[in-house]
Amino acid sequence: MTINKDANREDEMSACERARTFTFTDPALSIENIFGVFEEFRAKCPVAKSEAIDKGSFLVTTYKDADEVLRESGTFISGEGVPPYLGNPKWIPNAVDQPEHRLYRRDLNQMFTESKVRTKEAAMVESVRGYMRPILEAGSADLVRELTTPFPCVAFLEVLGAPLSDVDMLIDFKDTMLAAAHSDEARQKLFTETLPQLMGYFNNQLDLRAEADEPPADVLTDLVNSTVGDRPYTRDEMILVCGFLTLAGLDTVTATLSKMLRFLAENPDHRAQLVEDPSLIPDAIEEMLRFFSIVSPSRAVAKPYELNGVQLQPGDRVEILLPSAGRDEAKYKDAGQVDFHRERVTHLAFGGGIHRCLGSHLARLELKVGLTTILEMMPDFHLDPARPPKEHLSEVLGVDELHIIVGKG
Amino acid sequence: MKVTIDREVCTGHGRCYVLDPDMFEADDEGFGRSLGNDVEPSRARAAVRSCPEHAIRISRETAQIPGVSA
Repeated sequence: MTINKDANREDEMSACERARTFTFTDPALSIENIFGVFEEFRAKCPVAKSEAIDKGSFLVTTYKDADEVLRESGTFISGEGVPPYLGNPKWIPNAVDQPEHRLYRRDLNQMFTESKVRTKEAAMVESVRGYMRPILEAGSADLVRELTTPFPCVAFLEVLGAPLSDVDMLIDFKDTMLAAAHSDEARQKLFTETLPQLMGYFNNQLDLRAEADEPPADVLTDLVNSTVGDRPYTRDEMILVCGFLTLAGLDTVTATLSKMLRFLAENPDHRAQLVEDPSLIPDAIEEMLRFFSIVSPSRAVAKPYELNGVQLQPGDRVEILLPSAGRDEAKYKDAGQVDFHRERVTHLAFGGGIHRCLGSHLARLELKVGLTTILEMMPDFHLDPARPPKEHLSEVLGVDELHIIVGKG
Repeated sequence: MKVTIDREVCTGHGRCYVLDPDMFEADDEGFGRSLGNDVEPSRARAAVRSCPEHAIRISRETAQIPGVSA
């Protein structure tokens, strides 16, 4: 017994020791092995401290702890805890804490309700069909380049109300963001060059709205007419909202849809279930959102707090590893298996608490329209064995290349 | 069985009214609102389970029929 106990303690120590050097950019980590690492953390060192992330950060790895941290927004604050990949600007609303957050969010929520985004569904279907036709003609494609990158950009422009012809500018921006996940130099360029250009673009678009006699019903117009408490949004605030919508809304849908398509390419039985019964797609999306939760948001600790037996102090930082929470065996039976018939799966893919993803209804609709239309037009596809998929690890997991061949493998 | 939504806790995920539009509706901000319908317990419990914020509460165990106890 004593030996076992000692062995367990040794195990726990070694897991915590391993966590000290944890960072997504560790070259020894890959999408193939990172979930094994998370599993070890969850089992043996669920609130671990990494010294390799910035100035040190606790890693929150279980569903229960992630859920608690997200909802304790008075203790785990965002204003001081903006993750490094989002750079320095104090983005609105995600870098704002209560009570101001509520004032900003009130009008923003109304721009992205389920009923509002649904009005764009038909346009989204047409957009996906347009991207699918050349793929079917060619018989093969890099789905990231040809579909999952441009589609969310067009959907975003549609909702925002900016000209769809500006899609190439957004794709350039996304390429820079993707590069920023791989190199510090590109990250630097993103914040000194690319983002300021993008903010200038939004400023021009907002000028057009402010001058228009009969502005169209879209997010840009809504922003111009929005209030924070009893005053209108300032122009700077509007731009910070637009910038954040771009950072939060494009890459995430691209990555999530790409991961889902990769899974469906590699799992013909799961794919067949959705082709045979498309009404299963919304449940399948929830299950895959659980399995492929991609974002690991950060918070700063504002007051002393005990999390799962670990004492946190003001100034500490936490990184909430939602990809790990989504595979927590304590929360989900057979967490490592994708089961489209799991009953009413809840997950933290869109976060939780006051910073719950503003665009979750838009994202869900894009995923539903995407998967439904793709599977209708292309019920069978498989990975190109000559060009395996490429993925990257960062605070937002992503897919760089997804080469597929149309038809059964 | 009836349910209510704790407005202090709801953040507008909208799972309730998407999954069971006969029990819930959305307000202008996209927050859920219980329609107050009396539904079978399994359905009420499913609604409680499907809220990611734990904002849905069972407000009345059974229909209040005079002279009949639950």
